[in-house]
Amino acid sequence: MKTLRMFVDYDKEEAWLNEMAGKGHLVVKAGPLYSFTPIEPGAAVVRVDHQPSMKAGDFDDYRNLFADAGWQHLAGTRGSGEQYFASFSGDANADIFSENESKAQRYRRAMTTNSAILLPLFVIVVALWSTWNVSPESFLSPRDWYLTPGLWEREGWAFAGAFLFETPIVALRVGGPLILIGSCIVILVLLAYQWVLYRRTRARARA
Amino acid sequence: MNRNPQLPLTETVFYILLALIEPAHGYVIMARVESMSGGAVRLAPGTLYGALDTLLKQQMIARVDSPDPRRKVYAITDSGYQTLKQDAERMTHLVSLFDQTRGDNQ
Repeated sequence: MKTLRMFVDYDKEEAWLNEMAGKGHLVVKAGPLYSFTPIEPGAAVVRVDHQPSMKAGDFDDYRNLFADAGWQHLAGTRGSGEQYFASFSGDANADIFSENESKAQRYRRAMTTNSAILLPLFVIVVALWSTWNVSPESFLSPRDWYLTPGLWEREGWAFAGAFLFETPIVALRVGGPLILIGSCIVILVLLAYQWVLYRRTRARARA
Repeated sequence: MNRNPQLPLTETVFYILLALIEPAHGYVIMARVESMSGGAVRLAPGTLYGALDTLLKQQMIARVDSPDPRRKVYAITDSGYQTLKQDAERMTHLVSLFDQTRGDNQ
């Protein structure tokens, strides 16, 4: 069984995975395309951790610590960030964190991972911007993307031919940077949301 | 007197450092803390893993040779022990102050 889902909030992700476990589906492969294996309904409690990329030895040590404490590693690879664990102790409140402060630190580690992805993208965007000397206005008007002289004055087949000929080149020249800029914005929004979740989880720790 | 900026230690960190006066791997730390605290402090693995990572960065603990390559063994460092001792002295002072006021009130 496979299900497509996206989560940033680990509490919501855990709640959904535990709802699935309650129906007899235990996660075995992490999202966005989650895979499940059948279990006895409600037999497992699922929890999520985030760790930066680990060396093979560190990953073994990490999983063994959880296994020694009664947590079976379900999904996640050395470099996947999110790590999924299950407890079969029968205690629905079993958790891999005994303090909310350490629970909040998950988001800080995830933010570090995302920042490491954002930084090179950001450097490329700045470098492209300065070498190209494009103005933000021309970026927003699609007509300026086409460089064929007099293209927009042509009519009929002469226009269609030249337009279709240049479109793939425009897609590469403009689409590439647009995807880059879009990715930067998505990661920035993600970082802001993770910061809010970090603060919220910490505030709960003091309450 | 310049106070150590790492003070006061949290209860969890105090117990972990105390448990690492004798070298131990993760699960042994959990078992020692639980028994020392009379069952009151039960460290979950995610919390312990994060705390060990922080203490390693602060050089209060260090990795030592492990008989089992799949489980890392840690021990308290000299600076970690000094911090632990300073925090114990801090608490001893607080307890003695409390005992004095109780003596005055009786």
